[in-house]
Amino acid sequence: MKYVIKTLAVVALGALLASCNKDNPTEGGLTENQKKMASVVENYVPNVVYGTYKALADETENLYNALDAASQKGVNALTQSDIDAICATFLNARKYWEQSEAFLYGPATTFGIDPHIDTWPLDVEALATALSNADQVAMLEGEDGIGYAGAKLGQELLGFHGIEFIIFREGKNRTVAALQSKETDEAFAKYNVTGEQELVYATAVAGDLRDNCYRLYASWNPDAEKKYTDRMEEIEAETEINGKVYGANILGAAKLGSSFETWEEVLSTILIGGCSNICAEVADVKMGNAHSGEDINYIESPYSEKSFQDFIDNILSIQNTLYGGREASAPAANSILTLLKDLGYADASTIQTKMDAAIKALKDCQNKGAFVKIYADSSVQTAMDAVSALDEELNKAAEWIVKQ
Amino acid sequence: MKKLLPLILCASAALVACNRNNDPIPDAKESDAKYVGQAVGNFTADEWYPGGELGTTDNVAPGSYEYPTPAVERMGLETAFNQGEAFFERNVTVNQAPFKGRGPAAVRKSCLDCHPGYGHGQWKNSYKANGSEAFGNGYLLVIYHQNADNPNDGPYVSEVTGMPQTMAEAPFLPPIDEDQITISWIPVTAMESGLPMTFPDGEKYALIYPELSIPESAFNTSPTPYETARAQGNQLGFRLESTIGIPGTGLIDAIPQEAIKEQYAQEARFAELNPSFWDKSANDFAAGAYYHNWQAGVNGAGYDAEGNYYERDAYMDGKLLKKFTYAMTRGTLQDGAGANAIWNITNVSRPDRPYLYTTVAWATAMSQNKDVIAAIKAQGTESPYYVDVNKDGTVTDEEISEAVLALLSPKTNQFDNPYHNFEPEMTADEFYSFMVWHRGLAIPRARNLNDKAVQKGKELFTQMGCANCHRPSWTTGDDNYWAPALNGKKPLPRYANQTIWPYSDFIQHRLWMKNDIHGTWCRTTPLWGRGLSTINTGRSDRLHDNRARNVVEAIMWHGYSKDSDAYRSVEKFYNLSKEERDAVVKFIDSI
Repeated sequence: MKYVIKTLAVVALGALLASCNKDNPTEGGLTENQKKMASVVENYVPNVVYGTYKALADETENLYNALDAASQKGVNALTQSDIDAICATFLNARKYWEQSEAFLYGPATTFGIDPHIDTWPLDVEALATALSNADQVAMLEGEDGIGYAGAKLGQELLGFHGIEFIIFREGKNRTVAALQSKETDEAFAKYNVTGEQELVYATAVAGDLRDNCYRLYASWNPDAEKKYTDRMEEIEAETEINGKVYGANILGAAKLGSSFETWEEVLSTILIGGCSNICAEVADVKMGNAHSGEDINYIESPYSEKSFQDFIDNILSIQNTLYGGREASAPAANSILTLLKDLGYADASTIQTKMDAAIKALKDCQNKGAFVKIYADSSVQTAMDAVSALDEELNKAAEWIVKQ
Repeated sequence: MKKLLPLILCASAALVACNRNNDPIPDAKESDAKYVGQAVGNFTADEWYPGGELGTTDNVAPGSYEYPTPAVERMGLETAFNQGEAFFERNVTVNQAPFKGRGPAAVRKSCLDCHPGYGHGQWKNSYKANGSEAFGNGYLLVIYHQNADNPNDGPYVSEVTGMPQTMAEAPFLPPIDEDQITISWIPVTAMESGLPMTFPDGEKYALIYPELSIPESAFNTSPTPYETARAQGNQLGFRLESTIGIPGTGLIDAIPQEAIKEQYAQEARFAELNPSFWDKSANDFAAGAYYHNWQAGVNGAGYDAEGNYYERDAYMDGKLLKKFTYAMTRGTLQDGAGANAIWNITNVSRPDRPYLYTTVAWATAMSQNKDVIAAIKAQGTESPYYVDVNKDGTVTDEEISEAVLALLSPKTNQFDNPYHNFEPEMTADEFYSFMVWHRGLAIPRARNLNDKAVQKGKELFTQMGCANCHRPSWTTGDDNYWAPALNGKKPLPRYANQTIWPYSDFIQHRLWMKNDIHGTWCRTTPLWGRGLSTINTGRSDRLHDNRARNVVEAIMWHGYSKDSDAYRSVEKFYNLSKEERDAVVKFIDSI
C-alpha cells in the first residue's frame, strides 16, 4: 500500500509551530537548513546515483559482450563455465539494477526505461513464436539486431527477464546440454527452437539492455564519459529532459532553470518519489500480488529464483540513498540519515531499525526457499509488513524534513 | 480522519494570527510544506486538498499520480487496489497469465503506453502502437466522413473501430498498417483571430497543429473507408486524440448531476451550449445528454453503491448525465473510458463483454485473405479458426474462411457460437480489482499556494473569466454510484460529501482551433494535478492532440479564433505583463 498520509492535523500543527519559529527563511538565498539539504544531495547524486548507474552500464556491457562472444563461438562449442560466467555477470548486473530502484524517478520513468528493461512476466508463448520465425531470428542476428530488438520486440520480450529465461531454469544456471538441445519449455512444444536461436535473441536483448543502461547513466550524469554519450548519439537516444540531464537539474535546485524550486522538493522526491515508492512496490506489488492473489505469474525473476535477492537489493538501494554511499556500512557524514539526526528528528534511529528489520525479514524468507515456491508462506506476510513499516517511517521522515 | 479536520482549521486560524505578528511574507523559494492545510492569501485551507479529505494524496513527488485515495485505505480495499494496478501497468500478452487475451486485433497492449506515469499522452511525431516505441504514444486515430460544412465534423467510418486498431496477432493483419501513417506538425503563421504571435512585451509564442494522413493502402479491410467515401461522394477526415491523465476520475463520478444541471443553466444564459446536451428553450437537458449503457440486456445491468439492483437503463430512471471523455460519451466511470478500455483497447474479453471490438469489414478482409487461410490451415487443429463446419471430417479453405468471418465479427458471442467457444480472458474478480484501482486513484494536493505569484495567478484566472468554464470547485453528493452487475455488490471507493477542486464545468465548449477536435465540441478538461505532469510523465503537453507543449501555448490556442468560447479571456491574457502571465501559468501548475 502506498502510504496514505493520515496526519493532516499533525501537519497543520507542525506548520503552526514552524511558522512561529524565528528561524524562517531569509529573503532570497538559502536557509542554513536548506544549505545542509543541498549538501547531502550533492553527495548523494554522484556517489549513489551516478555510481550505481555507471556500475550497471558497465556490467550490462559485460553481459552483452559475454553473450555476443558465446553466440560467435556457437552453441555447440560452449562450455558450462562459459554459461556460468554469463549467469554470474547477469546476476551482478541485476544487483546493480535492483539497487537503483530507489531512484526510478527521472530518466528511468520519463524515458520508459524501467518498463522497457524490467517488465514481467515474460511472454513465453510470444517468445516461442518469435524464435520459431526464421525471418525474425535473422533480423535479431543482423547488423542492427540490437536496434531491431529494442524497437520491435516489445517490452514483454525485452530486458532482464528475457535473458534470464535463456540462461536460468528452476533456480539454476542453464546446463550446456540443455542449451545445445531443443527447447523443452511447454510453450515451445510445437516448435523446434534450439539454444542457437535463443543465444541470438539473448544477445540482441542484452545489447538493448546495455544501451538503455548507458542511457540511464548518460541521462543523469552531465559528465558521463564519451563512450556512453557517443553511443547515445549513435542510436539517437534523447538524454535530456527539458534541456538538461537530470543530475544537472536536481543539483541545480532552487536556481533558475531547475524543475526543483526548493531543496525540500528534492528531499521529498528522493524520500517519497524514490525510496517510499520502491518500498510500496516491493511490499504491495512484487510480493503482495503474488502472496494475496496466490498466483505465481505475478512473480518477478522466476527462472533464476532470485526474487528475494531482488527485494533485498531494493532495500539496499534505499539504504545506499540514506547512507549517501554505495555498499557503505554506516551513514556518511553528508548523508540524509545523518542530516535527519543533526536536525533533531527524533525517529531517525527508527528508520535504521526498520530498514534492518526489513532486510532481515527478507533474508528469513530467502533462507526458507525461492519466492516462486514459498510465496504463500506466512514469512512473506511478515516481510511485507516489515517493508511497509519502513515505508511508513520514510514518509514520516519526509513529512518532517520538508518543514525544517 | 473526519475528526482531524476541525483541528486543521483551528491550527490554520492560529497560524494566521501568528504570522501577522512575525514575518508574514514567505520567501519565494520557501517550501510550501509549512503551509499545507492553511488558508493562505486568497486560497482557503481546503484548496490544498483538491480531492477533498477522501480523495487527495499528500504526495507531490514523482509517482504521485499512482497513489490511492484515503478512501481506499479507509474501506480496506488496498489489496484489490494493488491487484488492479497491475492490470494497468503490465503488458497484456496473447496467452501468458495473468495479463492475457490480447487480440486478435488491438489498439495497444499496455495501458501505460498511452498513459505514461498515469498521465496525459505525450507529443509525438509518429503513431506507434507496436513494439517498444509505443511508450508514451497516447494517440488514438479518429477517422470519419467529413461534413461539407465543417471538416472537423462527420460520422465515424464503420470499416475500422471507433478507436482504430493497428495491432493484430498472427496470422491476421492489423486493420491499419501503422507504418503508413504520417503525422506532420504545421506551424501557425497567423492567428485567425488576429491576435499577434508576439506579446506586447515582445515575448513570442509558437503554435503548431497536426495533419494526420493514412493512405488507402494502409487499410486491411473490405471495403476500405476510402471505397465507402468514394461511393458516398465525400472526403475522409483524420484527427488525433490523446489520452488524458487518470488520477482523480473517481471523484468526478461523485459530482451530483443536479449541480451540473445548474451549471448548464447558468452558462446557457451567456454561451451557446451543445444542443445535443442542453435544450435551451426547455431549460433542461436534451435527450442526448443522458447515458445509455452500451451493453445490451443483462450485461447492461448493475448495482448502486447501496446494493440496489437495476436493469439496463433503470438507474436514475435512464437519465444518467454524460460527463466523461472529450466527446462526453460516458455517464459513469464504471462504464466509462477505463472500464471500456480494459476490454476494447486490448480486446480482452470478460464475462460481461463476450463480443470482440472489431468490424465486419476487417473480419471480411481477413476471411478473404489467402495467406491468412493458408496459415490457419498449416496450424491445423491448434488454431481455433480451423473448423469443420459441416462436420464431414475434412476442413476446407471455405470452412476456415467462414469460421474466420464469424469469429472475428463483432456480432459473434465469443463464448457461445457454433464455431469455437473461447473462455473469458479476464475474470470478474480481476475486473473488480481494476475498478477499485481506477476509482481509487487520488489527486495530489495543491502546491505553492503560499506563493504570492500563485495567489496573483488565481486572481487573474478568475478576473479573466477562465473560471467560468474551468469551474474551480464542486461538492460531491452521496456518491451512490452505479457499477456493473459483474462486480456484484462489492464496494468501490466512495467519495460522499467532499469539496473538490477539479477546475472544470464538465460541459462542452468550442474553441474553433485549426484542425480542431473531431466533433468540434470538447469537454472542458479538468486542470487539477496537471502541474505535476512533468515529474510524473516527463512531459506536460496539453490539449486533445498534445499540440500545446506548455501552458502558454494551451491558453493561446483558446484564442485562435474569435468565435472561441474563450476568446475574450485569451485576449485579456494576451495583454497581461510577462510577470502576470507567469503568475497565471504558475497558478495553473499549482492547483
